[in-house]
Amino acid sequence: MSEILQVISLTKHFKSSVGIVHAVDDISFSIEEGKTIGLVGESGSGKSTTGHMIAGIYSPTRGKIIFDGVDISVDANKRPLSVKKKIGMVFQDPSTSLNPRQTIEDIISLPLKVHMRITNYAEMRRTVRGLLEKVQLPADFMNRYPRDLGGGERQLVAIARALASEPTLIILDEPTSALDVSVQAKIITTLLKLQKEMGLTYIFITHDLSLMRNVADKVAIMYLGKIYEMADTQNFFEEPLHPYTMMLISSIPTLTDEEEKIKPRGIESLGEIPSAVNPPKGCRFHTRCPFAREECKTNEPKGEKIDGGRIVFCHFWREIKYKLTTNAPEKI
Amino acid sequence: MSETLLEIRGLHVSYTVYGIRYHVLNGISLSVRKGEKVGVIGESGCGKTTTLKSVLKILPENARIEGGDVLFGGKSVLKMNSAELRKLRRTKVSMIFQDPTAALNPVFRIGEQLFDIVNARREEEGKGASKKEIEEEVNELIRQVMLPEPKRVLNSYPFQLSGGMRQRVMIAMALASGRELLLADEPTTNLDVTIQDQILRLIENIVSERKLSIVLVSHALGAVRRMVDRVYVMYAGTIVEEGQSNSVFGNPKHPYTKMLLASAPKLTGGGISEGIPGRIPDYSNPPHGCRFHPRCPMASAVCKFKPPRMVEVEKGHKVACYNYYGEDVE
Repeated sequence: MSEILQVISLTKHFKSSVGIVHAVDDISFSIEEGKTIGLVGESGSGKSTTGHMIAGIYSPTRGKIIFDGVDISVDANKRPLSVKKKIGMVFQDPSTSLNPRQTIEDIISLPLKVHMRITNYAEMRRTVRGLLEKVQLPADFMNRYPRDLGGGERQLVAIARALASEPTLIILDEPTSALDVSVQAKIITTLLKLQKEMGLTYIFITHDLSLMRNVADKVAIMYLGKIYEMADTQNFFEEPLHPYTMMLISSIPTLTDEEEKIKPRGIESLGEIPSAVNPPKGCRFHTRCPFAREECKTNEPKGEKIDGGRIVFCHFWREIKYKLTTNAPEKI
Repeated sequence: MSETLLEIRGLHVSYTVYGIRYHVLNGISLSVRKGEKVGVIGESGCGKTTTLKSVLKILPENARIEGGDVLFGGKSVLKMNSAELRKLRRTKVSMIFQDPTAALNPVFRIGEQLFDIVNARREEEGKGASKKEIEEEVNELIRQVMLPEPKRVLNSYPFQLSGGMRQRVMIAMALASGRELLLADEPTTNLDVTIQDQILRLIENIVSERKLSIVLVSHALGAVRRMVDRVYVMYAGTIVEEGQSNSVFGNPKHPYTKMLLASAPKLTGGGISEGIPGRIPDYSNPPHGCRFHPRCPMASAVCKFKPPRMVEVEKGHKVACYNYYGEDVE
């Protein structure tokens, strides 16, 4: 399979009244066509900013975004229509991302006019109906307004709109975090079905690791603008390597005893994410890491590649893993 | 078995919006014993918050209690006069709200807000106290909820604190006035998972240390499973299932509970279910009989006529579903 997207040393800094916000700092990853990568992190980790740069909402401060072999990182405002068309986006809150004064038909037909150059009214209606069918919504929703729909149905409309320009890559920015689990399940099964049918590639931005276990092929953990661990989903959950990943997984409240068993032991969540204006020196996680040593406060960890396409950014991951698996009482 | 602290009996509550009456709570019964940790799970709009608010009698103006009763320590809260209600709210029962940003007063410092609450409780208890004593209690509260830099926090306005810190302040406030029962309404919904973990741990410790009773209401199923002894499952203003936490989560009976739990993604993988078809009913014209029947794959003709009563299928595990009729333990 070929790589549809490569992100190389991508960086985004924002100017603010209190200083420069280091939203995303030097991250690199890639995705194969037809696969899903989960960008996971807590609020302020830079996962949404990353998605927005790929979608062309922000221009990167530095770094490259290579899509289908073409460098599209330059100026987001000058991105050609032919590229915009191929990258779709679904936002977190469908009640703000859909125009309340437009009917569902209007909402879905705009990208059809802009990208697909459909001008014939009958053809337009036929296409909109087809898109609604794809996301399993009844055709009579066309004449309704977003307020007439439930949260899940609105999100399906947002997905239909994203599909209108026939994209190959879709960025899903927390598409289900405002929804109840039973509705989330419906949206996710629809997304997975569409991916299978149309060969779509997804960048799934979320804070929900349990969801990623069931959806993503590959997971990248972000913290304060950096990627700290990336691995295939199964490896990632069965054998997390970075202490932050372990802390995240062990914090998840579970529904079964089997889930409880696979949580990493010997690590407890503590502290809060510091400000991205003056991120901590060295490893940015050191202020919350129970294993941090002097070196972590000064030297930034380099990515270490491990079998199976894994990469981890931690000076002492081997020792930490050894300590936690053997339950050695002494400090590392 | 210890005595019952809170008992809600067949509570019916409706809201009137633009002249249309929405019959939301449809006969909720729930009880909490002294020192017991009880959870209520269910999805948005099922009436979880309305249930909690009726315990403190802080329902909005357009709400009407149509029937049933709420008893605290054997006394009807709904019939209390304003002095009795004030005493209940200032000294016995308190609530942790979902959104601390909305629940804290933005124009007073944290220290002032806590001071007022402690002062009010002491007045109510008839134990007037000096400024110094109250300040000591405030400091003690801040220490208990493990806020870093207590001095700075007390001098801060709510907007100067992070979401996790504000929720700790909310808990401190709840502790200041709720000496018997804590009502926690989605206390961790807006928080990140590592912060949620810390807040849940804090609530766990404080509740057991002070031997408080707690009602934890949430749609975060895992958080409830972790925290409580007994759990109620709510759907569209009715209790559909209740039982020991491990029994309900491990062996759910009601079709709604089964589908709800199957919808939640698991850390062990295994894919995602299809969810629950349809959506929650229109409360202005709710379905007859079992309110879940239009979405239920196991519904039969009888479900449309009469709401099912609770039947006990295992010891302490009850379910309101016709599919379990004839399976009473007794």
